[in-house]
Amino acid sequence: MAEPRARGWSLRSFLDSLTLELDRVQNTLAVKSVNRRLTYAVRDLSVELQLFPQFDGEEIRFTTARPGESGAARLAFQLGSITDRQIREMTADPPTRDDVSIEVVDGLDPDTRKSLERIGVSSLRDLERMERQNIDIGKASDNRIDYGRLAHLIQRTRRRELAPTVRSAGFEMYEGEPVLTIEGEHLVPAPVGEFPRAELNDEEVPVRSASDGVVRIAVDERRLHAGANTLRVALDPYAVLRMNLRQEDDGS
Amino acid sequence: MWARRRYTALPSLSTFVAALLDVRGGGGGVGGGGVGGGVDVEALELDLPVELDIISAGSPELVGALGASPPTQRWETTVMPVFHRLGLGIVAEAEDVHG
Repeated sequence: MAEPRARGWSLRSFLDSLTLELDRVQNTLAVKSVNRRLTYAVRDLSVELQLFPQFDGEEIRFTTARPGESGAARLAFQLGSITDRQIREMTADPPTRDDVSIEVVDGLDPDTRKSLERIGVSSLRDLERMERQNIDIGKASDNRIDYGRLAHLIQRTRRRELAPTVRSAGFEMYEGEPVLTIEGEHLVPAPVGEFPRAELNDEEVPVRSASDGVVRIAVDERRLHAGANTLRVALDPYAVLRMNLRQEDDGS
Repeated sequence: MWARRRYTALPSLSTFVAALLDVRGGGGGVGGGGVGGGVDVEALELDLPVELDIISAGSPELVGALGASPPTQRWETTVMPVFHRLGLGIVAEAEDVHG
């Protein structure tokens, strides 16, 4: 009885290992060239493999033919040297610090992740680029991707990576009215819809100004209770600040 | 009871290719030098059968290492190893020797 065939390897993984081996050869040559006037380098490489492909409906994997097996497929490919300029022209830009990779998006199921990779989306920037070109992501993925839910997950992950921090909070006069000034970082990087919004003791209070570093909220002192007061500030749909304000009795 | 054959892992692909690149062995041109010059190898094209070891890295779908070697046996047997093919284009590169 023939031995069952093991689960195969992906072509991408094989090519990664192959290029790694060639990089090692290059490192050896670099050392050798210190003392040798003339060295030899690989100009191109071709490989022809005897393989058995396996397809599970989504991915193709391969196993190498074993001794005595017949009917193997032949996979031939060539590798040639390319310049730095060609690499830059042909590959996508590496992710920047403010971009969000879909791999770190919380709550994204593996099927959606694979569907996105198949249509060339690997980060939020790729998604925005498709939006600008008015591409219907749902149709492009055979309706496998719910764009609304995806956008929500990505924005939530992005906000988590740029979480707001409060450095200080205090009362001051701003344009003739008393305000609570909150200073920090990543408070309101960009206004979203009707946000930011604030509530003092469950009653809405107006936000007078909001920016990345400063938020000013109009606070009528008459609304402050003796003792503890709760201020909630929804900076955007994904970030809410909660502060306890204590009014001190001045003894008068 | 059949004794288990002990397989020796093939050398890494990088070791094999580096050995192929050692065209001039210990150094010195093929035709030697002399008055009026000599000859040297500028380029090589190789096309050879190889045995390949594709070794998994933990999970089976990931390739961890590649081993390669020319055919390890000279004699035709009932069951032959699988021979893949490797083609290499090799060119000479002149470097300045420092120090």
